[in-house]
Amino acid sequence: MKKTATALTLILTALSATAAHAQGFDIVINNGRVMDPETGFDQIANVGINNGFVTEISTDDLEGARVIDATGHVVAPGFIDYHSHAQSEYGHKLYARDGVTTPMDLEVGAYPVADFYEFWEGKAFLNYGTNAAHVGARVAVLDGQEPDGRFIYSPAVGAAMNDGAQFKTKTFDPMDEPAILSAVEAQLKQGALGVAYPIGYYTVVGSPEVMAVTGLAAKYDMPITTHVRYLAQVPPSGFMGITEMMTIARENDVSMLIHHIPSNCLGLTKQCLDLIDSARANGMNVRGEFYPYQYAGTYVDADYNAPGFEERMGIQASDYKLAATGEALTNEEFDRLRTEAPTTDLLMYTMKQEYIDEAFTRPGVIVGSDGMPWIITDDDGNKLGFTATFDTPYGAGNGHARGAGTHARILRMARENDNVTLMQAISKMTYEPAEFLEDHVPAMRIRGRLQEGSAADITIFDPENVTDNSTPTIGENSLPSTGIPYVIVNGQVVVDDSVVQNIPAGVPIRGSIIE
Amino acid sequence: MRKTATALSLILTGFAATAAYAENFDLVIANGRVMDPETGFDQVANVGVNNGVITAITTDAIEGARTIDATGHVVAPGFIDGHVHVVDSPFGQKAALRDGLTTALDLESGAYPVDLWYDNLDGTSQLNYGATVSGAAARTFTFDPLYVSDKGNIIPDVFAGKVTSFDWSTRIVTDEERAKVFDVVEEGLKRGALGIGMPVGYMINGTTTIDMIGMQKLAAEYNSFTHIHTRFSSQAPPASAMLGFMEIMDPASTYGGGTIIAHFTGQALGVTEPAMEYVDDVNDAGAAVQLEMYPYNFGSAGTGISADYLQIDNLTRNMGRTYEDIIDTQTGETLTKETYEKYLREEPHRPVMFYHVTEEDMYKALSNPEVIIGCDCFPASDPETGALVTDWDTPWDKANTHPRGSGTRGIMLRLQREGKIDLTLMQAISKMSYQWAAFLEEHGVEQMARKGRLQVGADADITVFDPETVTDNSTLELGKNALPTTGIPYVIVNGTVVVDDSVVQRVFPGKPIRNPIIE
Repeated sequence: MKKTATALTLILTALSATAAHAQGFDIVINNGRVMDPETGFDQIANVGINNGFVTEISTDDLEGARVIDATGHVVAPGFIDYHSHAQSEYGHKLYARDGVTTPMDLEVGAYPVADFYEFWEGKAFLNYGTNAAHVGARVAVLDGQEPDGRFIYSPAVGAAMNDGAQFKTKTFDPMDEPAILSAVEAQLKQGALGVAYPIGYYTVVGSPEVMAVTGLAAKYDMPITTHVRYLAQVPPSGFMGITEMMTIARENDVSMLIHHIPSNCLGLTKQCLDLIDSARANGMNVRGEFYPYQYAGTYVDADYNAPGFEERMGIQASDYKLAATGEALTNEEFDRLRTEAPTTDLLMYTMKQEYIDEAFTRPGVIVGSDGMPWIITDDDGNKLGFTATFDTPYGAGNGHARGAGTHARILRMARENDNVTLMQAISKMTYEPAEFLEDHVPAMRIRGRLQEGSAADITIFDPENVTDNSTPTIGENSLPSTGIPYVIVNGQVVVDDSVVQNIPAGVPIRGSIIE
Repeated sequence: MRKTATALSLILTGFAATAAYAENFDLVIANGRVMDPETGFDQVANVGVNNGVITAITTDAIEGARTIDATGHVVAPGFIDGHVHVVDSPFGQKAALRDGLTTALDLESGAYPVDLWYDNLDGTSQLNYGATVSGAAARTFTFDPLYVSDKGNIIPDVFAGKVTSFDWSTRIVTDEERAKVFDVVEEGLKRGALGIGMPVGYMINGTTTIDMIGMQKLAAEYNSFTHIHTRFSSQAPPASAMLGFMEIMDPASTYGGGTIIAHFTGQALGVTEPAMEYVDDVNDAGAAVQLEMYPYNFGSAGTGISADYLQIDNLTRNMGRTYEDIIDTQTGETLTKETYEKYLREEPHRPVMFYHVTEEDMYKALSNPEVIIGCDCFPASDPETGALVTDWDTPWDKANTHPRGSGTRGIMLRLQREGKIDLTLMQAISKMSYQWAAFLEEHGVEQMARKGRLQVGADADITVFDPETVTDNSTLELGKNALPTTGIPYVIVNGTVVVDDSVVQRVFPGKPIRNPIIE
């Protein structure tokens, strides 16, 4: 009798569960290989979405208003990229094609932060967020220029560069500190996700200033990020730059993301990653990041390109190429540009494949594209600036290929590399970044996962064919990745059969606004 | 500062999500005071649920197939309790649901065999359920390989006479037997038990400290935890409660793993305050020790009057109590020397209750925000026959038991409202929801990351109560032991309304809380 009762209850439970399913989902993704890096879940299943959230992962048949057949495809959490400088609709469009659902520029950040959020409000098709640009505060305080939100896009930056560039030339003066602190704190009160220190671009900055400003990050329980001082494998090295920032983070007890480790550490990449692993084993929330390319984007007058770069980075002038033409530099041309066109964009081939493999194969090192704002040129190759719009054709934007292909390239590398599983590769672009930020930013706790209760940020790709298509060749810099036919953001289909929809599906990832 | 930041992000996320789809929720809880202990979110808002998941928290108007008006009510995370011995009792579940509980775990006594325990509840549980592997049952089985458990819960087995000797309590293991006990416990962990339950307080003569060290070491190896009813209920040397605490805290500090000290006020008695201070220091030094208690100053003996700590020398010298501090659960009468000795001789498992900590020390402990609430909800017995009652339809006044089984949440919320304990409402809620989830999540139970929270993306385990009137009604008076809490009109488990307008529905949406099985 007891068993009958139990069986009956079971049937009833099953029926009521089915009844619930039949009420319908907004979207159902059927028959995909559902992969969740946090739990290791990896099986063919159906995913049901309601109101922007994954509410069912099941082998039962699910019905929905919209059904996507994911047969033969992987259904993964949407990719999270904390190093996305291309904060334009064109930039986001390429990220979307590359499977990214949350592209945030945490390396440079924004200034003022409120203006950044206002820029995207109501029109972002991907999730958007930013931290406080320490460099923005310096431009405002030391150069008297006013950036207007998206820092790199701000005319104020060019104005400062053309008028003394105090933000990157003025030696440390404690008298400047109160104004800089006040400027950064204002950003944190606007909901900045921490403080960004790309001090590799202004190595003149005083450590005491960085130490003091980091106290503000601690006060608001937010992390810091850094492009460390020194791009070199000999002293003063990238390794040294990391130890400086480690000390600052540890003293202030804040979390820290260190951008593009191989780019700064070069031949010391392994040692740098060992140092970070050791710090994390000792309880520090610190993460290293990398992008999977041997060349970097830079500009002529960047500190690390000063004469003597040959010894510091182990490269030659011919390892630099003009971003606009792909033409390799000579020593003479480099010198001419230093005087005549110091902001000229370059590609520099500094990284050996072994440095990249060191980061790629090591668990815990996350992927950050470092995708740069796309540059539009006229027919004669003259720079028009960051003028791309949503409708600018693919391929027309010039810049480092990583802005279009990083994530698909990682998936391709996982397919071609026996030492990294697909799950590990996905984790570096989803769960591990989310885990870094989630204690500070609760919106990240429901991202980077594909579980019931996760935000429905989902990337669907064909594991056999997904590939990057962007290259350093002009005309191919911004070719979109292929093999990622569907990208869903907060339950809305933003990439639909490989076409990006300009719908406001993105939500702000933001801290509190404190009046 | 942090809390403000978090709360705002949450509400913004909620807004954006609902802007997209404003109409199709399965369930909406409207106009309640939504309180989330993790983030500190505390404002009037509407909660939308789809398919068992909270998918919106917003001040926008939202519509659903069913709408509950929570005006004037608090909308809190469903309460969680890791110390429930009636998880497999329909009556126990019903009482717990009226008290706002949505997740009931037996972490102290635990389960064995683990599969049997979970299978027994599959599809038949009204709330979420889970258990540790039972250290006591592992000993029982080792000494008596023929021991067959009815439902994988040793407590009713003891009362039903299925455990035929006291070896489980008094016998010291040989080396071979110790290996066998640990094999059984490890097998339990591999079958998805949440941790290790070790009620050494009932086995003080049979369990060695070496056994305790081994249990904690094993828990640490599995990134798990122990739940310990510690060795002594005593405020006096040489066998003091603090020594019992230290017996598990020391290996926890050495090997890691978490440990929960069960009903610590009932153990520590007059040294409750120093115990809290010392545990704080131990945790500051890096251990993960969690103190747990129930909001009553009297206990209920798990194995009846023969429980180790009720033996007269301990009762008088170490607990500062005497015969008259013991209450016969069956008759409600206080014992005398004569009845005490008679019952001990003739009915060693006769259910009794007993006063332990002072009311003053109990309030101090309840007021400590770090201490979490575990009801120790205990099986009830029939007032006429003394047999265990588990039937769902048992009348509320026909169940003799410790009132904590029905009133733990109600009394906590009442004591907070009356100012008898020094806690904010948010802190009181946190001790009964989020802090359980956070401890368990930290020690290997991934499912708890989505419980104990009233946030988008969390499981829709929700308790709706009236903060002005919610109260316990269960008391020591016979016939009132199990009267249900009132003022908690709605309790939702995985999106299903289980308590509807204060009436428990015959629905079974409970899901297992179980770790992945390791083959």
